[in-house]
Amino acid sequence: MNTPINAAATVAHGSGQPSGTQARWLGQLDRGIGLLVELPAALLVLAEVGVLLVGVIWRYLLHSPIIWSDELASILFLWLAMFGSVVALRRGEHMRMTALVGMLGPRAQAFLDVLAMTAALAFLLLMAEPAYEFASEEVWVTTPALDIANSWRASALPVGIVLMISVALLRLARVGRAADVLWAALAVVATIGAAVLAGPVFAGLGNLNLLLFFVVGVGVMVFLGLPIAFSFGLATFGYLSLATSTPAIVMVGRMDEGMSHLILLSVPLFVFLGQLIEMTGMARAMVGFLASLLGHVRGGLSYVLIGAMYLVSGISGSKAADMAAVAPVLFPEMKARGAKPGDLVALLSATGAQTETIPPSLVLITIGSVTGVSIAALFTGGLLPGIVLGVALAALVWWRYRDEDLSHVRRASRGEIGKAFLIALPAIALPFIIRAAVIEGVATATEVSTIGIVYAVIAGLLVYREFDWRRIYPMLVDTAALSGAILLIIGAATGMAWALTQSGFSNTLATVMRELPGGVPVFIAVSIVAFIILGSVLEGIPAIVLFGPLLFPIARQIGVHEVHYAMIVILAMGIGLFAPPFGVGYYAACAISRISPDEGMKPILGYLAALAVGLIVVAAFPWVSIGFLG
Amino acid sequence: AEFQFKYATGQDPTHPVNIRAQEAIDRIREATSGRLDIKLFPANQLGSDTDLLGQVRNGGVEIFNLSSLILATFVPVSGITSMGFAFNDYNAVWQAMDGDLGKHIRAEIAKTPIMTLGKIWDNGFRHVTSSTRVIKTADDIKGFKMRVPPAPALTSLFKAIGAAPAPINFNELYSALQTVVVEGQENPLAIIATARLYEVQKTCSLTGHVWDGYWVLGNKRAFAKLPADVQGIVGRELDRSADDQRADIAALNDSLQKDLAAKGLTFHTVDREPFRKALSSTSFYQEWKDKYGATAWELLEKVSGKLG
Ligand code: NA
Ligand code: NA
Repeated sequence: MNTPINAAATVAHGSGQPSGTQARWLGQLDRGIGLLVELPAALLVLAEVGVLLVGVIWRYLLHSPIIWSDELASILFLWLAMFGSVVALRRGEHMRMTALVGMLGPRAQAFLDVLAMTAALAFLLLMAEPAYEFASEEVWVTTPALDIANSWRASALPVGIVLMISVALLRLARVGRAADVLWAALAVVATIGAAVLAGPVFAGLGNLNLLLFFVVGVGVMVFLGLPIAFSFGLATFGYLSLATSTPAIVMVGRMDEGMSHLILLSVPLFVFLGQLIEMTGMARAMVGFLASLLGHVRGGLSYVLIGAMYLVSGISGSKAADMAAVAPVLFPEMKARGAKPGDLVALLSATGAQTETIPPSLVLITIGSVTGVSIAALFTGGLLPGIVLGVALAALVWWRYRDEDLSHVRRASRGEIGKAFLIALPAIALPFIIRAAVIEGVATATEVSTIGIVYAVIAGLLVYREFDWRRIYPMLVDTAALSGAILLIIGAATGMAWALTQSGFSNTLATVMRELPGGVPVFIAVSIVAFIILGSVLEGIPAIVLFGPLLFPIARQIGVHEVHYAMIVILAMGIGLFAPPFGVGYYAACAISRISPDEGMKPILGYLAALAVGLIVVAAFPWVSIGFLG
Repeated sequence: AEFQFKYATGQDPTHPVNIRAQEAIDRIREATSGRLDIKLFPANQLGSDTDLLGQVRNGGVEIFNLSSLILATFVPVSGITSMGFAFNDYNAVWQAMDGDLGKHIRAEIAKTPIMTLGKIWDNGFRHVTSSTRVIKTADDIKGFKMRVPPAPALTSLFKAIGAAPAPINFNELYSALQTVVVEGQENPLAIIATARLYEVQKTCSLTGHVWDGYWVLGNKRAFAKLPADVQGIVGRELDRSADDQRADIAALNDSLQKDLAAKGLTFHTVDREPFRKALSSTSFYQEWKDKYGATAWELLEKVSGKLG
């Protein structure tokens, strides 16, 4: 994200900038708010590591599981997500699509930066009252394990929103030109006002509203450079309040659930683990070894990336966590060797889609439980399709890097490789330790990152002797900010998915697909297209919950093996999930690798095409999916 | 339609809860000549149970099917239906739930922004499954590492009889059982079947340690807007489906046991009396009596006999 919102800060001081003393005062206020949110955010990351670790130790070593550890982790997680979102807003790290914005002149860009912040502010102001109402309603609900009022958890939303409002106001006051702010505010108010006046029209449009708000509306906002999370949020808020009679408080509840799903907790933890690996020199050792092995091969480290994602995917249930574990290790070295950032993030995104079927995957488990297909069979069936798509990606890598100039790279000797291996050994052991901890039942996928963190700390302190204590605090804050940026999008997308679901359009689609002429090939082809779109706007799991029960019986009826169909559906959804401009997965990949979404837009087209080819192979040859089912 | 409602459930689309809810919805549409159109959203499509409980309170959904155990986070006394080893069989359950205890709970729910729309539906008796040791007696369960949902009625029960209950997110349960993060879990047979837990478990002990039911909850404001005759139709048709759904579960309990046995899950019958005795020797029943209050407790003991 090298085109963050605070790019406005680099705009020349024009008329209407705050005067000297005022600027100093605002600057102090900004630093005050910074400390107020960054310190708790850092402590929350640390607390999460501690809580999960304590849970694992008590259950696995002391055989006396703690009842409240998961619940406490989940409560802290919502606070972490909200404080992380505030930190991200303050630093301008909420993801934006600036592909179009980037083509404009500096004046227009500065205005759109201000507009983006103003629109974010509008969303926050609209949500503030419902968020407060939501939290105060939760006073009456008791959390099951800790037996405390659920407001302890839900208050994170109004508190976070109010902090974000102050950050946004302060940012506008500090860096926006007065005229820009005025015009932006006018534009936002006028748009909202026009929409409200047109209210009765929406009520008569039925499901056409979905197209209007979620395709046109989200599309326009995303390409204007509004942060993705706020684009999703504004479209959903607009749809729910103008086209339905849903109270706004529902949106808050959906964001709450979307942002604090315990499975997602592995995201910040793997992000932190990635930073630790880098800081302790483990990453360098690992890449050094891989580079000595494959450095003389064109595109060598790209193959390593594809392979590494395949291996890591088997550990965590969450794609964002997988990417967070791999990217920080490989990207610095790949960049140093001249890889273009855009190509890196595109490939990372593509591997995210490629590895969707690799167990244990949440999507597989969800398919199994909502459609009645054996989860064990899905776990077995998912291994080979992931390899087929990996081969398709590798073929494209070979093509793209076939002319890479490696004349300056010397092939490492056996001795050098051996030495690099020894140095890297404790680092290379890490993924195996993590994997073993999961397979041996020491920890769940969510908890296992904490074991990795402990290992990395010990290896860093004792083996690599590279441990800079001063870097821990900024690393924790970075982790919180990154998590906040990702989780706010997921929260808003969860609200959006609710809006789409409640419209009931899923049944319409299922009916259309049942009555398609052309038998199996047409049904599969239409499924692929449908799930690419669904994956893009709904994300994997909501789409499966919604359409799995409707479409799997149809597949069964016309003679498509369910495991085969599951693989087709998951991979299609994966492609949608990681395809810009709507796929959340793509933005997660950009956030994790700290590369602007714009840069990956072009290179990803080729990778998406390669994935599509792989998917067609998987679809055409059922054996790939069901050949190994006993 | 003049009125449009959303009806949310957390169960899989093929679960009797949804089959019978859809039938009620169809009959309601017909009986009201299309004035009330209800859309069914199964399988937590509109949110997790905890979030849906919020939605039915604030009007995000108008009707919501919720386990009595989870409703207890909002209306504490509704958890009493899951008192450990209280109900011996379904006769006892329906006697209590269609009788005074059910009435008492309904009245407590009605003090909030939500209401119950008639009879309670059946979730089932919960049983313990294991991939390691076979659970037959209260001694077998000592130190048994098992996943228990974070409901105080259940965690306190298993703690009191000396098991080691662990909180594992339901999403992670299948994997956690497969890798033996925990040795076992407890659920009604229908869940053991639909979540395919039998693939990663060896034995099922028919402990029937607690019974759990589903309340069909309605948003009061939304229902107040319905004309009296429509309200009457909704109540009548949902109650008819409640009876049908109870019969479905009763039939399922027999057939599921056969199905699951055929798929390799070994069933063991369990003498429940020693478990109840073991519990009585602890402060378990006394603590819950203090929590639920004397009135509710008396209504329960009228059916269960003296507890503790
Ligand atoms: Na996976
Ligand atoms: Na999306």
